[in-house]
Amino acid sequence: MKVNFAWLAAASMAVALAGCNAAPEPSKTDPGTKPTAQTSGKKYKIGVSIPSADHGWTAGVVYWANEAKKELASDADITVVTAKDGEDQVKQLETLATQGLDAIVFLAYDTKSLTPEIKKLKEQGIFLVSVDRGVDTPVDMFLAGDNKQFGKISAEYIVKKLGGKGKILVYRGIPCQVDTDRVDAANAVFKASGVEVLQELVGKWDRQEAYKVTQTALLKYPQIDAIWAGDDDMALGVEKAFKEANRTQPWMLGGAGMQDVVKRVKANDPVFPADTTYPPKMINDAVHACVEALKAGKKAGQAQENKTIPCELITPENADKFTYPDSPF
Amino acid sequence: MKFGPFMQKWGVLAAFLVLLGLNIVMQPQVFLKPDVLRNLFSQNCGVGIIAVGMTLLIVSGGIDLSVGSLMALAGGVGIMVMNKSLEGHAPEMMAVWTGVGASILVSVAGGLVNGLLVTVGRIAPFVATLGGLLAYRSLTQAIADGSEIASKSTGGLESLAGAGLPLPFIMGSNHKPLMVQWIIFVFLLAVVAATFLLERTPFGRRLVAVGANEKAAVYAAVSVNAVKLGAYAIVGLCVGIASVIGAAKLNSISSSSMGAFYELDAIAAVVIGGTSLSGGRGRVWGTLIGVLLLGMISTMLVTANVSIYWQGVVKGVIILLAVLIQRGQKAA
Amino acid sequence: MARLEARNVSKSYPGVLALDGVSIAFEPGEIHGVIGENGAGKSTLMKLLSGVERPTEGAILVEDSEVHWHGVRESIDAGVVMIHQELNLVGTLTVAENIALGREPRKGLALDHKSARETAKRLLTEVRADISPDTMLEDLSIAGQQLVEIAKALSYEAKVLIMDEPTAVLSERETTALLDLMERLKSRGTTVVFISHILEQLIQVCDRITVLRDGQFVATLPKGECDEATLAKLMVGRELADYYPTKTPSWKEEVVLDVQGLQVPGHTKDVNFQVRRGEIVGIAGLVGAGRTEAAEAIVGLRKSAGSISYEGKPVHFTSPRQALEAGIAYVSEDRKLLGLHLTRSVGENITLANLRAYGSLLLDRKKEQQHIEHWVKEIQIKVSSPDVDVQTLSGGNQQKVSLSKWLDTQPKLLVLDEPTRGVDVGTKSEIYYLVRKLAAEGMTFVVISSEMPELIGLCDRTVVLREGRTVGELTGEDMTEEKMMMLVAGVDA
Repeated sequence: MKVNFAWLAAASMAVALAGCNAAPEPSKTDPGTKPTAQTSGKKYKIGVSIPSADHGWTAGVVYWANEAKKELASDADITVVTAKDGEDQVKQLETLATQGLDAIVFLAYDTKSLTPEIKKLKEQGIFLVSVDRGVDTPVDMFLAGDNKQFGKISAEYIVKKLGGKGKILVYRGIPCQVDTDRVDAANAVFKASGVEVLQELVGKWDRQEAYKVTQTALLKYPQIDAIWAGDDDMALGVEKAFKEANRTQPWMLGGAGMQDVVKRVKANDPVFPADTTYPPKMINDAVHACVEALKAGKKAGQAQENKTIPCELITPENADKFTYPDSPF
Repeated sequence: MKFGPFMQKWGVLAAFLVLLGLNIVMQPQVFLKPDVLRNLFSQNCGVGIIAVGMTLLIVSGGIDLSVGSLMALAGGVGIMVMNKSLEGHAPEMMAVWTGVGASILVSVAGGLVNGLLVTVGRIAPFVATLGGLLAYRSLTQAIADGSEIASKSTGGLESLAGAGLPLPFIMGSNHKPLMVQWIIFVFLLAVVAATFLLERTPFGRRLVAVGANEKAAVYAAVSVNAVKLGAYAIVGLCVGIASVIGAAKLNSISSSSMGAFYELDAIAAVVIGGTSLSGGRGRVWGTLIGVLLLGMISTMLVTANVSIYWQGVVKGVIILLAVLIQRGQKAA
Repeated sequence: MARLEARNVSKSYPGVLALDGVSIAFEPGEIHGVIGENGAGKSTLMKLLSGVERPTEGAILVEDSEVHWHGVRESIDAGVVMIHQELNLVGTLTVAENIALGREPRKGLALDHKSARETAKRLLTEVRADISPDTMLEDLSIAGQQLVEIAKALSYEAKVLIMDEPTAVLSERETTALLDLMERLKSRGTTVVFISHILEQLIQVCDRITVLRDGQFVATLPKGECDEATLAKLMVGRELADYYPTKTPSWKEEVVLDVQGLQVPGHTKDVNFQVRRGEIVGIAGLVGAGRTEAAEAIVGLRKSAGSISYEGKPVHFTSPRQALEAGIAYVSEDRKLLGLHLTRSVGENITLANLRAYGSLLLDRKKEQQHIEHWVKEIQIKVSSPDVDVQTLSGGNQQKVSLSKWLDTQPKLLVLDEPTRGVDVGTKSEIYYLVRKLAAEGMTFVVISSEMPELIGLCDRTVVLREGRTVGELTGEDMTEEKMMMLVAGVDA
């Protein structure tokens, strides 16, 4: 038997399939996203295109997209599709375009490769809402998480808590614009202070990866004062490595507001004095905003409406605000 | 022995030692610590055990792409069974071992399904297991809502991967006797058992015969289907053990990342180790070195602080060099 | 001026001097036979002449000018084409595609299928092969594939055509056609180099025959001086008085195997024969007569209908394993693909079919080693060590390994399919003596062969199949080539 390795690689990529088909438990509706009363008999047809659940945060996105579908069931027929990569997402959007939709809400896997397809959709007069990452063409509505701010406020918190000096480790995710924006913004802050970044480790937003690279890094650095983990999943992997090596656990700042970590922040856990939000719930907000806009009679092709979802620091005091018991992330 | 044949036989070991030597010279403060060697084993024993099973399968002319996905599924089911058992107030360790049993049951069943598709279903191994690669992963994500399956064990499950044997005279970097986890012994045991199976048993002979020339094996009155089924079941068993190790390490299973790309790493380790992808020839010790070589590259990427964007290049080039060195050919 | 010449060529491999100062000249328009036992250096010489390898010493000359070929491509360009024993064709392409492979005719950018088919058809007619150009190559018998290979060689318009054992896989009729073809090529001025073990064929067509022994040139004899005895003597370096063992009937009355009305779908319609204990029964027939298929059906390798009884009881084996447990073994005609694991050691091959005898969970390696050594010694397999790969052995020794594999299972009935194909004269004789000796000890044999002299010389009785049916049986004095030929071909002489 002959095996073509390119094939093999492609086949393995294909495995990152969606886990979204299983309907999650019905949740109590969040007060902020209460379904709007029905004003007309018209039911909007909306497509939601998002990356598949390839790590914790995207699993959250898939969850919140499906929540929106349930919450808005009386107003809109929502189709949620998940893509395993940028190319896949283009194909799925092409399919959605044939379904006679009023609007498409999407979280771009890869902004560059998606842009031409978005332009085509625009020509069809479909109301387009981009979430988290912008595409290189104006759409009707853009809800962005602020990744630069994410990096900035978390780094500033660390610098302040360390009193302007100390040695830290920084963890990177999967190479992409989001990761670069966050880490560059954080590094800018560290550079201006007296805090020394020992090394940028590659944890791929994955617990096991972070655990593995930390095991090795621990042998290299005898003193580590704090950790900028950038992501809660990675932070948990880091914690595991420290525990196993019997090393004193420095405090950490993760990111994205994973429920387990939010709980620990609230409980004044010394390892997690705070956390940075980057809520996967933004997809849910976007779908709601989209329905509102359609109801308000907004048409496609007008000027782009920009909304930024600010990143916030979660502290023991405000942790309740960020608690969603049923979310998988 | 001439240079060519010598390298064919020992090239992979040479490549490993050269890389280790290079690392020691470049980073003595890290690579002279006994922890590094221990970590090399403990970090890679999951994929290593799968690679050992994969060696036997590839020798028989088969291949299994579903291992990573099956590992996630088996681990997930194991944790769920264990959690149920804990909720029923079973004693902690009893619940843990019930979960282990469930994981192994699931993975061996998965292996047998692959084997039946290949033998009775007459589907090419590559295609038959490609189905599993997709289906098992998707099934795990469906069970877990795309998220993780967390264990309710309070230390019992983790102890499977964490507990070990402290070495009396070697100090770890935490100034305590270096602890060698039991899972490392499980890995080494798997290597020894597979070597023994391949070289000292009638089953091993038949594996080789089927892989070297399946038709001739049929004519030599070998029950080819039984042999193939056995090989897939062995891979399933290995996946089961690996899934327990994976689950125990993090006390949870991530439905999307657990075991992802393990099929590629395992197959790469087998090939680097000198086993022929076309079957009929293979060696388990080579796979062991292949696993360690891949693991060392990952460690090195961290210690040498290689940029995230260049890691793939470094890894790819080293793997190719390791394979080329075994050709033992002079540069043209 | 010689068309192709080897002048004082030597070739050494690590540790072996395969060819030692050999000189031969091949003239235009002659059929030149080359013979020698396995290991005599024929194959090495042909590799040098066809550009596969280069001589260590000496020179290869084409029309008196020295050539230094790097690979087969260059020798083909110079008009020297070799047809290898191992077929170099692609199973999943059609016959026409195989013939055109590498030099496909084009129409603009597209392949010109029509022209390729026409060329193939013309060449196939020339080699008298009744094969459609659209047949998938893998659907052809080995003999059919061989003819395609020859047709492909013709398409090169070769000046020198080297044929290495071309008739080994052909039936009598196909062989006759091939020998005719050689004559025609010769009359066109082509030089044909004909390597074969079958002396009578060489004597029939060759203008000159060169004998090699142990890597050295022995003699070149012109047509008039060639007879089997002289050639055999030159080849082995001694007299071959008793080529076949004396027939001392050792069979008993008990019928061991009784095959009645055997039907193998698509291959046989009505095969009937009986074999008595200790008897050597030959099966004759053309390629396609259903001999191999019938044998494979008996041991459970093919589905079949009809009745087979073994040792008095009706049996219907569905796998070779079952047949083996009952004591019936089948030694395949296709040694390289089905009979042996070429890339594994001699020892592993010998014990493969009988691994159960060496333990169910653990191999008793000591016992295994003893058995391997026993067979190597008993039937004189010439190997430096039983650990070497079978593929490094000569054809004769490979066949001995294949035989040992089955003898190790201690069968009661052994079916030998073309037991001496591609085997040198000396080893052939050894195999005949071995079979006769085992028969005298009570083992029963069914021998399928395309070589009539072999059946006549070895067997107690010969059953003839034609187009899937038993058409006759010859015993004792009746076993002559004429009578056999009549039955085989279905014509009156």
